[in-house]
Amino acid sequence: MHVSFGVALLAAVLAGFIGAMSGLGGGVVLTPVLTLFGYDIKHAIALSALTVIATSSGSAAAYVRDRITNIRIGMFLEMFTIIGALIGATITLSAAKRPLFIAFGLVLLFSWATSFFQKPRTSYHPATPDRISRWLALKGEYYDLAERRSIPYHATNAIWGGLILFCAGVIAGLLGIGAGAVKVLAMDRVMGLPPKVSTTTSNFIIGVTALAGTSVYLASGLIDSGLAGPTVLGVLGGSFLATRLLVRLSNRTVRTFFLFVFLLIGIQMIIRGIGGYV
Amino acid sequence: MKAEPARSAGMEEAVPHGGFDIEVVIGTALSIGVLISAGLVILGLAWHWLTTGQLTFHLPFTGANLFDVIAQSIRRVVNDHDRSIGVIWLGLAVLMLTPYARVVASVIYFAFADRDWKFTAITLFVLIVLTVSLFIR
Repeated sequence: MHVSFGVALLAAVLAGFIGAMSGLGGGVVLTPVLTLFGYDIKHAIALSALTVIATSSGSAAAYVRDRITNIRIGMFLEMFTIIGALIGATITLSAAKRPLFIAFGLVLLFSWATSFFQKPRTSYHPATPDRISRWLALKGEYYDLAERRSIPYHATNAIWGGLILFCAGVIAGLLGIGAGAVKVLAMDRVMGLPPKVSTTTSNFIIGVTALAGTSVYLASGLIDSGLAGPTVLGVLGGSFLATRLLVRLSNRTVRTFFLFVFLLIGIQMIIRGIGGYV
Repeated sequence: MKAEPARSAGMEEAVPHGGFDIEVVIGTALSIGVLISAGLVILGLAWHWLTTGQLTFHLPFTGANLFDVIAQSIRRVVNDHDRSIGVIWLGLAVLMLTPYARVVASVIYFAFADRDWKFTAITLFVLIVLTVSLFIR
């Protein structure tokens, strides 16, 4: 079933807004909302992959210029995510709809959980680099505005990080999302990078990963060019609005509310998948 | 640029390669790409609405790779065959080319400015995989 211009725009603005407000990205909201309007999940995933390129490129631009993003670590990890994304998107082409709903719901719950149970770390202790990290010089330094000093850091467990990022790529391609929660978790906990570097570098990787997935969807004919326009604009507009609003509203209640919305979307996706209400 | 003295010490170290500041180049490329893309899509949609009176149209990219999309949209604009749709397609193509251009810039940087063969190989690998995937149909 087709959806109209207005529905696509509305769903996209909502997705961009909730995604930026919760800090979990717009891709995970767009597809569930579009399917609620009766749009086919695979077509929604294909559109969503395209919008992820827009949102991640937009925000990555600022982070890269602020010199927090580690381009070397980003490029190293992209080798793994793009291969994963190509595989993931190819699986979606031939997958049944119900497992896609369930997988979507599970990823939403996982992102929600990592965000909900996350304890902000007070200090950062540089990890001891492994051989690959040393050989490739996967290290850097960024200026922390809060601590008012330069923080040097070094990556570790490069291969484990790469393998998890490969899985994150599969999820990203499969569901047309950024899978930022998995990426950040791997860089933060496994590769021992400072939280700020993990988040911004994850964002940097997401654009290229989404492009790999999008290329598969483009070739398969799942992207409706008539709906792609309003969706891309809507997501960009929604997230822009949210970032403007967040500057004024930055309290925990707002974030908690949007995380709750996230939880609801995740649960309804799983119920629909299991019950067959696709 | 904003002057931030506290950061300048670190910045000098970050710009060692004869003016090719990778962070500024990539950051600028990304934001320009998204802006041009959004601009073209808005222009195309407005044009489509003015000429047909409708905003919604359904036209899947069937069996097309990125380079087909670019070729077809240019053909549409030149031959006056649904020009507005051609403009929207160009906008979407620019969006897809934005991360691609970023990878191209990284290859150039690591090969010619940083002269780091390991990272030239890594970025080249990413570029080749992306190029091949964009050629599939």
